[in-house]
Amino acid sequence: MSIQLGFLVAYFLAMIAIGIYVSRRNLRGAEEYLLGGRTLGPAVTALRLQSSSMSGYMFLGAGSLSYTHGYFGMWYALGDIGGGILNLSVLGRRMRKLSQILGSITSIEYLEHRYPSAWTRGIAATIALFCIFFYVLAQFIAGGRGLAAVAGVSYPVALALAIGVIVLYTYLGGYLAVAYTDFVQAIIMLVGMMWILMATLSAVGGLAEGNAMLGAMDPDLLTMWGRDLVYQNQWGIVLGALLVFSIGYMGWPHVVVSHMAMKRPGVARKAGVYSMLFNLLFIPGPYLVGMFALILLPTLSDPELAIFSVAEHVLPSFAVGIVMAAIMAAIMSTADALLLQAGTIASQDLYLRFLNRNMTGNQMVIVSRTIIMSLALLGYMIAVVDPPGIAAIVIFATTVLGSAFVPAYVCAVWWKKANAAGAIASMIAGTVTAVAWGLMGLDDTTGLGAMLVGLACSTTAMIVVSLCTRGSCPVPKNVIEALAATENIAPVPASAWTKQDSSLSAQADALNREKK
Amino acid sequence: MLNLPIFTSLVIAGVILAWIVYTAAFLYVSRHYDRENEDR
Repeated sequence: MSIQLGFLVAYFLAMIAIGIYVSRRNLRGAEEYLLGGRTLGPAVTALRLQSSSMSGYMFLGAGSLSYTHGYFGMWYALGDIGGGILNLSVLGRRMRKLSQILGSITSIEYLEHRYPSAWTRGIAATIALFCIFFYVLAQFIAGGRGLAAVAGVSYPVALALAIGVIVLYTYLGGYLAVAYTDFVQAIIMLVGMMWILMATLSAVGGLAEGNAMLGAMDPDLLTMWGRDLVYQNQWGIVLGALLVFSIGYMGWPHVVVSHMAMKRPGVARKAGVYSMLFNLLFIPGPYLVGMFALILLPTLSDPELAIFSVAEHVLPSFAVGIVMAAIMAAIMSTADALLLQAGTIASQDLYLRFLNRNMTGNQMVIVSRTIIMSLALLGYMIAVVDPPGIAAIVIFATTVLGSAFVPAYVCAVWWKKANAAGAIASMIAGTVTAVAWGLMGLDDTTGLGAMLVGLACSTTAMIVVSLCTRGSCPVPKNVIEALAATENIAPVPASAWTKQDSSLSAQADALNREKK
Repeated sequence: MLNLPIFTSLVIAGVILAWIVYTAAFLYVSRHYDRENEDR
């Protein structure tokens, strides 16, 4: 067994061990399984949020982008650096509190409680499930390909192994297992990336020297406009690049669910700082390494392998194993969050809501696990027979998610006049625009990114439709009261507690404390 | 700076500085979060 493979096996075993350890904790029903009983502190919240946001894209796509277009890739990185703090500061505390008051345990159910209508949940769940399935499929394929390259086994075997490990620990411990493995994986990603960045900078003689060599190769690479200055004055594309990983995160259901699982609303404060520190250290790395790969390995046939090839070039064998573990960590930490979210949406938001309303919490855990397994099998079958391109799926799925959900989640806590009709119109407008823009390839012809246009349409729809339907579709009184309680930095008033679903474990605990 | 064109340096330094200032502002504005007991 090679040293690299040894590191990967050790890493896989560690992730499964965390899943087994967490599964020994008594999971009392849906809230424990789906939100970890709302017990997570700032460090786990921040790193779970960051690692599940950053998929294999950071090690494959980011390196490829800067290998191809130099410092142009930094527009994406600069937006990404602030994505976590923006998400936690805008949504964090308020979403945690409002979801608790409204008794929501999934990020889609939360939307229905805030915008009361069966259509809200039906449409949101369908859009989210569709996008998430394709997003997780891309992670499966990336994991399979990465493992096949390192382990030297065939792609179908590597794919089965990668999916198997992810499913196993997601299946075992639910949200807690996902949160704690994501936390560990974020640290592995950071260590791996810092290591390869240091080695790369050392190999090119430092940042200033590396830039000088890049400039000698092609001065355009040092500009923010890409090779041959193709993006010069393309402000629509540049703005889209800045927005996609900053504001876009606020619309991803598998990411914003982190807010709902926080121990207290105030956890958002420290989590924001941890998230910013992590991003400052981690995010520039893949882009810089991808750029300096042009100096170290100027004739790469596949730019997506830039970071991995540089690692093999500048690091000793055992360190390459750690970097490979970091790459797998990026892929797996996103895949597990997506898989759990897909299982949650299918079981809680569709099956329980529309087919069997009498299902108990424990039954729902079983249904969720069955669906996770079914999705994994379906994903395997598609990925092994005819695997589509990774980058294309990820960009498409994340753009649609962001366009569809950002106004719905942001207005849910910041705009009292946002109503169900506005939210439904916003989700439909964002989805249709982003899908049409992507399928028709309008990015290049119009010079406007799909994210930018999708977000503009969904936001406009939210504002216009909410205002036009104020009379016919008013915001319910209980939601207005809940929003008022959310605004105040104070404990939830007793009047709000009494309207909650006392079957939820954390709320039941709180109610018992109130009674005492 | 670091052998980069002025515009590239200014954009990178400026946006990173803006995020740091935003984080500091959030910390200041949310200074009451920890003091108030918003438990559960």
